[in-house]
Amino acid sequence: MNFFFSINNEKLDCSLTIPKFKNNEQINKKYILFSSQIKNNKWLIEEVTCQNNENFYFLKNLDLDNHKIFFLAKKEEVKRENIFLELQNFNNYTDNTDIMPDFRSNMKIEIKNKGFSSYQADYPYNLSLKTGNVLSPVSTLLNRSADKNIIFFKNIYFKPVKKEFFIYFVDVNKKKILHKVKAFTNQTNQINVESELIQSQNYIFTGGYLGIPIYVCIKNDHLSMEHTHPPHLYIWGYDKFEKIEKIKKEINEIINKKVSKI
Amino acid sequence: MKLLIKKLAKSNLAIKFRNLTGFRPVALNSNKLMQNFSISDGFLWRTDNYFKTNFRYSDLLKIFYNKNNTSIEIQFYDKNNNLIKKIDKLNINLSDNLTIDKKFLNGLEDYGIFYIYHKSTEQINSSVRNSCYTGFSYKDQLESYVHGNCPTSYKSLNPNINMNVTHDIVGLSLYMNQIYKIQRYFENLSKSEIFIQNPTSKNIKFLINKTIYELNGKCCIIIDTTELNEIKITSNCYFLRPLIFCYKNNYIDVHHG
Repeated sequence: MNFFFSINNEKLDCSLTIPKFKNNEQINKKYILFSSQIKNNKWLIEEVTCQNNENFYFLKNLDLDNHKIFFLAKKEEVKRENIFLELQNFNNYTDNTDIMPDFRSNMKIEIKNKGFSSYQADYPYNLSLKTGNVLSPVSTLLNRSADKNIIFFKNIYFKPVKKEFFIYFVDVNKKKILHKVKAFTNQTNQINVESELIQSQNYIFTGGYLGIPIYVCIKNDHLSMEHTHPPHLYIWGYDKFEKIEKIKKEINEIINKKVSKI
Repeated sequence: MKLLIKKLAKSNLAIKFRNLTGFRPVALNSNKLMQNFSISDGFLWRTDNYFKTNFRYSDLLKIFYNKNNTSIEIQFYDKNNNLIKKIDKLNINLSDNLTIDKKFLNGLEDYGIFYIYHKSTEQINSSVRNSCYTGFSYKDQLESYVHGNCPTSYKSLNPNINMNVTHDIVGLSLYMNQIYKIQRYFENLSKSEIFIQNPTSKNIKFLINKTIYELNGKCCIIIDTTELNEIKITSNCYFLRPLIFCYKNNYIDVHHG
C-alpha cells in the first residue's frame, strides 16, 4: 500500500491529485480516499470528502498540511474502528510491483499564477516500518544561483509518534559535519539550504529515520521540485547493500565522533 | 530438475519468450548485467523551442567503489538514432554537470537521446546504473529537473573491452496489450507535451488514447497533448513511461508520467 503526502509552505500553494485507477487502467470504485493523522498518540483515520471526478480525487491547499497522509482503502477494510496504534497495510491496490511503474499521485506546488512543479508523492507502507539512514547528494538538484533552495524531508513512521532526529550536512571528502538541523518523524520537514552548502562533495544524512528528500529550487518565480533516488538504485549487483552500508557506517562514525566530542 | 527448470526460465531466451507471449513477463531484464557493466538510462536532450538541457550526474565509481582514474563517455543521438556527438571526460567531480544547448550541438535545434557510460580499468563486483538528473530550461529560466526514468543500454565498464552498446533490457510483447495510463489530470495548462523513447532496438507501435504512432528502435518523439485531459498509452513495450512537459505561458513543469 502507498501513502500520499503533501507540503505546506507559506509561499507555495500545494495541491494533491490522487488517481482512483491503477496505471494499467484497472479501477475498483470500492476504494475510496482516507486520511490519517496523529491524535492523542494514536492514528486517527477519517474518510475524506473532497472534489473528485470519475478517476481522480483533488485535494487543495486548504485540505493539506505537513502531517496528514492519505491512502485508498475499502470502507470494510477500515471498518468502524478509526483509531489505530500503528499504521495498517489495508490492501495492495496501490502497491508498487516489479513489472509496473509505481502507483503515483501528483503533488503540485505553485507560486500563484507563476511557476509550478510536480512530484509523485507516494510513500510505500513498507518504508514506514523501517528505520535507518538516508544518504542523498545536496548539489545535484539544488542551485547555488537560485533565490531559495529548500529540502523537504518526508518521514512516515508506522508508530504514531513525533520523534526528534537530526539531518546532517556532511562533506564526504573531508569527512566533516558542516551543519545539522532538527527534524521530526511523521511530518514533512522543511530545511532551508544556504548556498555555501551546495557543493558536489556535500550530502545530507539522516540520523536514524528513513524518508524521502524532495529538493525545491525557486528562482525568478520559477520552480523545480524533484526527489533523489536511494543510492542502491545506482548499483546492479550482489554487493549493492553491502557497499551502501559501508558508506553509511563511515558517516555514522563521523557523526558519533562529533556527538561524543560535544 | 526443479532447479534446472528455474534456471532455464531465467535464461535470456526464456525471458524473451515469456515477454513475447505475456507469460510471466520480465519488464526489465538485468540478467548477466550484475558485474562490470555500465548501464545508462536514456536521457532526453532538447535544444528546440527555446530549450536548454542541463545534465547533472555523479561519479558512481568514485562514490561507491572509491575508484580514482575513472572517466565517463556520453553519446548523443538525434531523434532518429543517428550518433551526432560523443564526449569523454576525465577527472569528473563527485557531482558534475553538463549544459547541452544549441552551441554545444553545433547549432542544432532539435531533441534526441543521450547515454552516459562510466569507465574504469579496475573491475568491480557489481555494475553501475546511471539514472541521474536532467534539467530543462525554457527561455533561459530555472531548469525543471527530473531523474532518469528507464535503464536502456549498457556497455562494459572496462574501456579496453571492445563491446557494442546493447539495448535489450526492456521487454517487448507480441501483442499491443500493455497499458500505461498517466496518473495525473491535465487541466489549466497552456500546452502539454509528452516525450516517448523506444528503449528497445526493435520497432514499436503505440497508441496515445486513439492515435497510433510507430517508433523505430532507439528513436524518440515529442507529442503535443494539449487537447487531452487524460492520457493512456497502449503499446507492445513493457516499459513505455513518458516524460511530461506542462506549460503555463512561460512557466514549465517537467516530470515523469
